[in-house]
Amino acid sequence: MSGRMYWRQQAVPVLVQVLCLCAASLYLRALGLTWLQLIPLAGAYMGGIVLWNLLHFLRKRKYFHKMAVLMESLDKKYLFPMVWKDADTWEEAGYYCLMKECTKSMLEETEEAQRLQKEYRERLETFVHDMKQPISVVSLIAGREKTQDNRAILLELEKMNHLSEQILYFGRSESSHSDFRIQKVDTGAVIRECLSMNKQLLIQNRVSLDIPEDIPKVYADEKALLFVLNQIVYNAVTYKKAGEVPKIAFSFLAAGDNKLLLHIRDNGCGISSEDLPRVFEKGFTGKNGRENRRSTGMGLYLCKKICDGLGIGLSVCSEEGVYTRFTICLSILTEK
Amino acid sequence: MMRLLIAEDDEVLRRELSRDLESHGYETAVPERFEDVEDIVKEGKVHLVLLDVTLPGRDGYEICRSIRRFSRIPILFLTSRDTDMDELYGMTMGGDDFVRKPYKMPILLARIEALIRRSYPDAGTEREILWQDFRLLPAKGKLCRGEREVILTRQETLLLSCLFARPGEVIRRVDFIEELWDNQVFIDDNTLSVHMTRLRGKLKELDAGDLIVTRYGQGYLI
Repeated sequence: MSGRMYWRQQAVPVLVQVLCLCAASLYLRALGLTWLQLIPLAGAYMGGIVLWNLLHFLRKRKYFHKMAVLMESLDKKYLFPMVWKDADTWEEAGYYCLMKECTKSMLEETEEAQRLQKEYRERLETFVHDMKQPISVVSLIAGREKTQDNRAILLELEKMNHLSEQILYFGRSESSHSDFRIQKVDTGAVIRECLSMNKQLLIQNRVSLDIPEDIPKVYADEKALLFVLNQIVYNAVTYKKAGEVPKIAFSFLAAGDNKLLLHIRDNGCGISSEDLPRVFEKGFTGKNGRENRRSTGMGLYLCKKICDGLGIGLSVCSEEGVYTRFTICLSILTEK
Repeated sequence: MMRLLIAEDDEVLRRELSRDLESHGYETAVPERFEDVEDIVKEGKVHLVLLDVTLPGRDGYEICRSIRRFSRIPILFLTSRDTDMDELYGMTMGGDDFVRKPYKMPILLARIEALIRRSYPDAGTEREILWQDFRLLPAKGKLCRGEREVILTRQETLLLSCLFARPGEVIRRVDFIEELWDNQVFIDDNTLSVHMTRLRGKLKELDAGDLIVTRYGQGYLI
């Protein structure tokens, strides 16, 4: 929006007017006016042109400046045509109409895409829920007789259930609205449920557990917390250290007035210091992941995302070859 | 004998569920048409309703609400839709509890038992397990032999009831561990030995120190 560009645009009309002025002068000269008599006429005319153009330029500049300021202040830039109502020339009104049309169609497209995404997510959820039906049936049948084969089946079912939960939370994490519901949660009960869900995994890997009594109750979304604990426990067993009895120790610490730090510590292979800052990144598998080909790099990413959505702190510290310790920072429920 | 009504639309799941419940000492009523559910409840021959949320035609919530118009029979929802709102909705419709799919039999059994105990307090006295001249009271954690008695921990009670249930049979270590896990006692192989030793010590007080026999590499038996 430089001044030079404006003058280049106005060059043709100005030139036409100057030519008209010349022609008029020649005509008046032929009628007998002297050149001297024509000077005031030409002067006034030229002055008028310059003055009009100058004012017009200033007006336009102010107009665009106002638009720029408005655009700057907008959070969602695409809503500009909805907010801008100030079109008082024929040309401006024309552009304004087109712009509005563009935005409207774009909004429709986006809405359609969002609707499709929502529908996709809901369908996916239904499919996953329907999948739990056959899992239920198989686990009922396999749970009847305690044979080696049945235990192997039950372990695979636990993995299937774990994966289906991941799909559910993945679907939820990618959508803008969240289904979390904060309520009173018995932390100890959630830990016990988590262990029950991984019964075969933990027993078959001969995991030794340490669970403290009387863990304070907290405010959280129960199922989300369960998902996070599940993932941590699952990882602890998956990345156990060869030739050593795997241990998972839960412990807690009250911090400040109303914070509960829940530690989950394992004696697994740990995370190298260069991988450690990146474990919560989407799709990050790191050194441990490369050795274990099943790793998707999604589990901890989802945990972090869920915790962020719930205002729960999730952090990790580790020493390679020694331990990994996850810490979940929860809000304690204070009974009145 | 307690009779449970199972309203579940998946035929296979219905069959397996009723088979499992029957093997745990319950009678089951398994209607194939869900229009009949209320009539069966009205007959008064069932003591608890297991209600799937997603049924063809009317969903579980609706059936629950319509049962509540005339009966206070305990209702346990079986749900695979696991959003909280659904559970909350189930409770406001008059359900007493819910179990999420995929459910594990021990957990389902525990919920059923708890509901029955709550709803029918006079039905049956405390469960006790008798074996030879021993009397085990699991709820009180007591083992009696004649006039003498010892107090057992929860772990020891569970171990002993396992043994009493299958006398003469070698029960493998992993079976004990699983049994205890099903009751939310998360022991491992080492702690199992510790609890066994303590249990033997207590049995000695009842002059039965050698009641439990160890079969190395296999397990334990009485």
